[in-house]
Parts: sequence; C-alpha cells; structure tokens
Amino acid sequence: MRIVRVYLWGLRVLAGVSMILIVGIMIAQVFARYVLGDSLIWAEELCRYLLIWQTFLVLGLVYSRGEFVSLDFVPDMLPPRGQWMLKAIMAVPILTFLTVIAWYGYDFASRFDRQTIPALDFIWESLTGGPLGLSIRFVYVSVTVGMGLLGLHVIADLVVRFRPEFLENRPLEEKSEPGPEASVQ
Amino acid sequence: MSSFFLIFAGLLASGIPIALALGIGGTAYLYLSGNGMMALMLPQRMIAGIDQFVLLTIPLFLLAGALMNVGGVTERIVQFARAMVGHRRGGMSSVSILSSGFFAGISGSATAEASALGTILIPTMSRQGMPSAYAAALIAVSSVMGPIIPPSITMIIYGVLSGASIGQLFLAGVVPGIGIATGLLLYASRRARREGFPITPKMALSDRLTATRRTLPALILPLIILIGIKAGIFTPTEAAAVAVAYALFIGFIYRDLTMKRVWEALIATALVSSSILFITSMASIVSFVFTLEQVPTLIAELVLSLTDNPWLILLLLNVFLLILGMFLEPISILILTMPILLKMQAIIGMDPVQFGTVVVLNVVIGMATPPVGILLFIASAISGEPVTRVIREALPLVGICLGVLALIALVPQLTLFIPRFLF
Repeated sequence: MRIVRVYLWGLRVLAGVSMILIVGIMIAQVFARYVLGDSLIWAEELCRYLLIWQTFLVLGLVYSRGEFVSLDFVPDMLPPRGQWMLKAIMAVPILTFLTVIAWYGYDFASRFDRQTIPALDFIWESLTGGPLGLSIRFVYVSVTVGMGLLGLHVIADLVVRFRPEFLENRPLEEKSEPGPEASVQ
Repeated sequence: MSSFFLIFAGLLASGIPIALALGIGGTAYLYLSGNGMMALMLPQRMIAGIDQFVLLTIPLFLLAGALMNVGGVTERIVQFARAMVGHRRGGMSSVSILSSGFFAGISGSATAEASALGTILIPTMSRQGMPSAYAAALIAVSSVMGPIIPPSITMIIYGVLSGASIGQLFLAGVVPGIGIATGLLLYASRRARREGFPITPKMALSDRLTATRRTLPALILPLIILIGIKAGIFTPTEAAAVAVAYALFIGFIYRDLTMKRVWEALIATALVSSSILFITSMASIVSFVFTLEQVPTLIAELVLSLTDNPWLILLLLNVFLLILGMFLEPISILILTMPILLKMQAIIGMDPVQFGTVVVLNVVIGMATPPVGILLFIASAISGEPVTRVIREALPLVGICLGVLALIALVPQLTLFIPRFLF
C-alpha cells in the first residue's frame, strides 16, 4: 500500500530530522556560550518541544515493531489463535484509554490557543522583525496525534495478524527489514 | 491502592506494553477512586513528565552509544580488553566483563550495552568452549555496570528528581562499578579454572600497544564528561550532546562511520528513546494519581509502623525496590517512588549522594534479576539459550552485585570519598 509506505517513510524522516536538530542545537548552544560568549536563549525550549513531538509521533511505529517492553509469559503459553484473541480483547481497554487521553489532550491543548511559543517568536523576530505568533497549542496537541497514531497501529497490528500464517504459526516470508535498528536497543 | 496493583498486574500479565499497563492502570484507579473528573489533568501530566530539559540526555546518550557501536568502537574496546586479559584461562569471560566496564564509560544505558556487547561476545565465548547460557548470563549481569559507571542516564534522572548533585552522583558510581567488575572477574576466573575453560594465546606486546592506541580516544570520553560537568563548562544535557559530537568525531576519524549508518542510528535512537519516554510519561500519570491519593505518605506510615530502625528501613526499601525492579525499568521506578524515597531518606538520615547511589544500584540490578530482568531476555535472545537456563547461570552473578550493594549501603566512605575529594 502506497500510502502506508509514504507514511512510514515520513515518520522515519521526521524522527531522523528531529534528532539532528536536537543534537545540532545543543552543540550550537555550547559553542555559542564558550566560543562566541553569547548563549542561545531559545535553544533549551526548542529542544524540549522537539523531544515531546518526537516521542509521541513515533509511538505507533514503536508499537508495530514490537519495541515496547512487555511481559510475554502468559501470551507465550497460549496457542496462536489464543494469542490473537488475547490481543483483540486487550485492544479494548487500550483503545478506550487512548481515546480518553486523545480527547482530553485536544481539550487541554486548545486552552493554550492564545499563548505563543516564545522560542520561535524570538527566532522569527530576529529574522523578520515581527513575532511568528505560533500557538503553543501546536506543541501540546502532539499528545492527541500520538495517541491517535498509536491507536491506528494497535488496530493495524490486529488486522495484519489476522491471517492464517500467523494464526497457524506457520513461518512467514521475510518481511521486516533488518537494520542496525536492532543493535541499538 | 491495592486495586491499582491488581489492575496493573492483570494488564501486565496480558502482555500489553508496560507503559500502557501503567497508563491504563493509573487512569482506571483515578475513576475507581471517584476522581474521574481529574482525567482532564492526565494529558498535562503526560507532557509535564517529558517536558524536561534534562530528559534530552536519554536520546543523546543513547545516540552516542549507537554511534560508537556502528562506528566500530565496540569492537575496538573488545580488542583492547583482550589485549589486557585475554591470555588468562577462560580469557574471553574476563574480556567480556572488562569490555562492559569500558563500554559503561561511553553508554549510559544497560540495555544498549547488553545488545551491543552481547552480539559480539556471546558467540565468541561459546566458540571458546564456554556454555552459551553462562556467556549470556555474564553479559546480562555485567551490563548492569552501564548505568553505574558514569555517564549514567539513570543517575541523571535521579539527580533531577531528588535535587542531588549529578556530578557527585557520577563520581560516586565509580567505586561500586569497579567493585562489581572485580567481583565478577574473580568469579569468572575461579569458574574458568574449575571447569578448565581453554586459554587463548597471549598477544604480542606490539599488538597489545596497537590495540591500546586504537581504543584510547573512546576511553577518554567519560573523563571529558566528568571534567566538563565538574568544571561547569556544560550541563549534563549539554555533556550528552558533546558525547554525541565526540562519537561522530572519532567515528569519522576511525573511518568506520558512514552517513548511511549515522542516519540509521538517528532513527533507531529516536524509536528507542520514544519507548523509554512513553514509559516515563505514563509513570507520571501513576505518580500523579498516587500523590492525589497520598500513597507515599501511606507507605511511609506503613514502614514506620513496622520499624524505626534505620538499617531495617533501608533493608525494607532495598527489597521493595528490587521487587519493583523485576517488573519495571529504572526510570519509571524512580518517577513512581521518588516521593517515598525522599521521605525515607529523611527518616534514615543518609547522605543524599550515597542514598542515590544505593537506590540507582538497586533498580539497575533489578534489570538483571529474574523473573523479568530485561537484560536476561536480551542476552538470552542473542545466545539462543532459553531464558530459564540463563537465569540459573545469572543467579550467582546477581548475588555478587547484591553483595556490592550491601557494602555500598553499609559503608558511606565507599561512595563518598571520591566526590568529597574532588568537590
């Protein structure tokens, strides 16, 4: 599916770029303070927001790759069909929880409509002379986006696994790309 | 409170991610205790849980470790350890322990250490005729040194939550780290002699010097970090960024680092860091609900009703943390229990830095303790041995770590003399 591939590609690019930005800004911060003698007052704030977005944005991907820590004692004792059933049953509280948080998260974010992001205002002002006026709501709404994507991945995982080769525990054709990803965790 | 633990245990057993079990358990408890309208606060708590400058150390130190790993530093460290102790009987087991100690000076994370070193060293050890399960257990338990020898993500989090000095905590971890390494080395060499593990030929002096020279730049990193923080040149967070820059720098000098590898390491780090921070964020929900229900006070009262002897309280606390450590990872334990911990520390009257070292040592050893020590699972997956066999081999090794923990808790000078000397 093309849209899925584009989505996954986009997520990876965003994850990589946000990491580059965090590292770059932090190093620039140390450099500016010790070499230029002038610290970047927006650096810390911007990095925190990047980290928040990065964390919530890739949650779904982390779920699908099975990188969340979990205890598998009970599921491992079940036959494949039973494992799928258990997953399906547990999807109910998970999705309920995600919906509640996504809902309240949106509510929470919209309360900050009038408050702008100081760091971005400062950068924009020094570039163009006027404030950018981007609401801090766009930081807080990351919770809703993250919970939504995680929910979609939970559902997608159930659908993908509802296939005979999974349920009969037959070996599956090689599908996931092995990369250095596995080596860092 | 007990209803929370019942729900949480049920969710954990069903095999859903621990992070979600925390979040769902906390939210369910909120509704059950009649505070449902407070659910509005949860997203705010979730953001506040990760909206902290110092948490940037998590992706940054992870990235530094990953870059060192794909940049060939891990292999150099193993070569170096081999040059030092490889010629002894069962030499590769000593090499593993020593490599873990050095690797700990680069990475602040035990899981990163277990997977990076395990993939190289577990197969090497089994090829040398050591039982695979023993090799896996050795890697799992010596990875505990990762968060004890500086830099350490766990200690940074402890410092932030408790207000103890991060620089002093880092220094306080040096002796316990060396203690664990020594204990494990003694055990490994006794065992090698008893079971007659093979000897590898001694490397020529020139080879050993080359190995040292090739590894030295990587081994300087912990010094740079310690000196930088101590001299006030950078904050712990910036130190992590400097570690990344340094890892890039030596990676490109060694010419093992390519742009593609760096890019993959960036993405992989973002994913791992997200999975840790999500647990952190969910633990903040539970911690919020606990505070609402005054759980820390209840637990403190419960403990005080049992005993007011500081040593017994310390023992109870250690057992309690160790049990938590069997199910949760260190950072979420610290977030969940910090209010209780600080109360206990005031009651016992222990030095904050020593107390912090004891707590960190404790939760980190929990990662290698059955039934659900994550390090055991990583090592077992790499070795292909069933986790039950790895656990059997790991028990005496975990015992050694607990012995060091007991020493650290009983003798304040062991942790405090280096920080006192330097600060």
